[in-house]
Amino acid sequence: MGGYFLKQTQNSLLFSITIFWVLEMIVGNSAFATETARILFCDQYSNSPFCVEGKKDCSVCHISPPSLNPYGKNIKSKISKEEFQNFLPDVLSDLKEIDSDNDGFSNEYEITRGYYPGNNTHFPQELSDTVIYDPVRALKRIKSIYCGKSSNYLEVKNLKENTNSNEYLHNILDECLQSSYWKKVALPRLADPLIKPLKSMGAEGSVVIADYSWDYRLFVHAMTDDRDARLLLSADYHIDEQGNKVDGKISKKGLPEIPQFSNRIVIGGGQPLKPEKRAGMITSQWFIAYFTMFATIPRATAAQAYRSYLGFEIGNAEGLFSTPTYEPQDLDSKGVKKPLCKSCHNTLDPLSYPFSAYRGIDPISALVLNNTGTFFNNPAVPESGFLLGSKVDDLLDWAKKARESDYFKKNLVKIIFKHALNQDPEKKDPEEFKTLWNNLASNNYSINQLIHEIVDLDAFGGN
Amino acid sequence: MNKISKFYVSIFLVTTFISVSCTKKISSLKKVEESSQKTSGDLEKVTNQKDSSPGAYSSESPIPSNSSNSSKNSTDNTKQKKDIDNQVLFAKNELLWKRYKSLEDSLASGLDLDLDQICKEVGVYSCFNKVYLSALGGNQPFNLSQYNRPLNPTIITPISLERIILSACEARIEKDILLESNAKIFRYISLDSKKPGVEDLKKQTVFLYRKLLLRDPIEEEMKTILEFSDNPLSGRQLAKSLCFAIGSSIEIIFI
Repeated sequence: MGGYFLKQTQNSLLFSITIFWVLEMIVGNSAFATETARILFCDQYSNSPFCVEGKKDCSVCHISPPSLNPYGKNIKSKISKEEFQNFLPDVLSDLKEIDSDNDGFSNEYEITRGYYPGNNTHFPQELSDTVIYDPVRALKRIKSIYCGKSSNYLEVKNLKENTNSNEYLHNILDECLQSSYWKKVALPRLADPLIKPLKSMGAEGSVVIADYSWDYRLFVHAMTDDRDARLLLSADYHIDEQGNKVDGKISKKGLPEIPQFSNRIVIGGGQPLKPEKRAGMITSQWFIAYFTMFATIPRATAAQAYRSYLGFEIGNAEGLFSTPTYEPQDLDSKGVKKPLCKSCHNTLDPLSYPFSAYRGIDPISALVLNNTGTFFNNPAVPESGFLLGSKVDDLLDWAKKARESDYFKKNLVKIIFKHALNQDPEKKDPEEFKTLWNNLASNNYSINQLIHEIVDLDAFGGN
Repeated sequence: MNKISKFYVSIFLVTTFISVSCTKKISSLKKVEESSQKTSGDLEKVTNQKDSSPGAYSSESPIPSNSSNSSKNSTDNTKQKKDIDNQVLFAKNELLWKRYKSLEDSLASGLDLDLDQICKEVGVYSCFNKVYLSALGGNQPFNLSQYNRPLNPTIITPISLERIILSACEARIEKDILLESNAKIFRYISLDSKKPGVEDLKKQTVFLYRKLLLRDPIEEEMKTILEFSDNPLSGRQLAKSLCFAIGSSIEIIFI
């Protein structure tokens, strides 16, 4: 009797304590300080590269959230959490002329130019008075980055004696962009963070869910030979090992394999999705199988597509756009309506709905029918969703809106620019970055043309 | 415990919560009042530049005073203004790290070696494509899930580079010893006897510079090498030293 009473008391205490902390979280409002801080910061520094629409850079105030760098500590020393909204603008203004990280440049000077005010290793370098384009430097870089090779003494000598060095450089570049190094080594490495292969689950693995080599070939196909790079999100075909276009469904090679009869499990392969439901890289069997897996609402799949092709990292609260107030609907009862969760999930959930019409892994039917990644009418989740603040009817509409957006162009330029010059063009070369992505459409989204333009920049060959 | 008891316990805890929160709010309001007085005082200090002590802000992270060295301030302001006037984008001043593939080719073509002759650990594993891949700027996505290459040289990049360059130089020297008078790279100095004469050394230096760095050495560099050769070294030791010094030059690692 006493034991029963004790157990009931413990249960009710646990219940009450849970309510206590939930209320504390709601009233404490600590979840919203980060977004509020960003909004107030960007009100003051609207032209800063840190305040580009949809992006967030926590390193302005943090070493690694929640720990603060000197700039963040200066802010915190002036105001408490409760005073944040009311006094942050004044404190930011106070700190403009101060050099929080003692690197010789004031906070305002650094912030307006995209340098971290709390990091003394990140500051404007000693600047040259003039920059001259050096064809020799450009040649060495072209050969290294796009040919995977070194130049030689004779080649450099010929270039110096050539009256039209620019034409010479672009001819070399054309050769490099046709090389097997560019197509088989360098370009596939650009696709790694988009595809995220895992050998143990690919075609040669021990638990085969899909074959990611189709993804790599499609990526290289879209990014070479002056093709329209929007094929990344529009292609309804695939490319085989010989480089030929393959239309229609592609069946898995070989019989199903299970442990009783084989040393591995094979439940995927080929490309079983019908072409009329394809949207390039985001509907390949590997993409759906690996990122959706068994999920009812494929949030990871949508987040990966958002990150890879539009450049938004939702985990950092980037790319949050307005959606109807009834979102998130929490259709799979994961508790995403809670205040802490809602700020991201009201964007992420409707972003994910169109992906739920593509089957994740159902082991038995995948083994028998190879149906992972195929289209089906999902009764639990609507096919329509929201992307970049507007409604999309289905995943094809999602892909269309994505590839026509400025974010897609910017992301493409960033990938290629960063590969070439190892830095973020949006912060370091904002004017040149803008020109590059604005020109993408007029160059028919050709990556080869984009690279030719990058090679002509002072950032590439300047000395 | 019955439902009524649960209800009363919950009410008790909620009431406790509310009273605790209110206490917090009252104390924070007091802090707001205090700090607003402090802020206005600090603003006045900053504006008038009267107080040079870092205590104007927080001792937790003292901010260097901007008022104590007015001449330095004016110099700094001038420097910043010059930077604005002569705005040159940061990217133009940066060197680019030459990554594993083109570095491998630089050494292969510079020292006339096949790719698999440059460096292999325990005679089996490629230094470039396997052992030091990440240190030399590559990534292995399939087995190691490295989906991005390293942004900058890592802490073991220098030692990896030295290992590889030394290995390449040794490999070339061994081959040229066997080739004797038909040596491909070390053709101006004798590898199995005493050190060469000045003119032969100059020719060898120019040859190595052209092969590895794609240019002729400047006067200062030649002078340094000639001074170094005054040390008691055999031909082979001199060849190895020259090859390593030129081969590990910053020009071969950054472009």
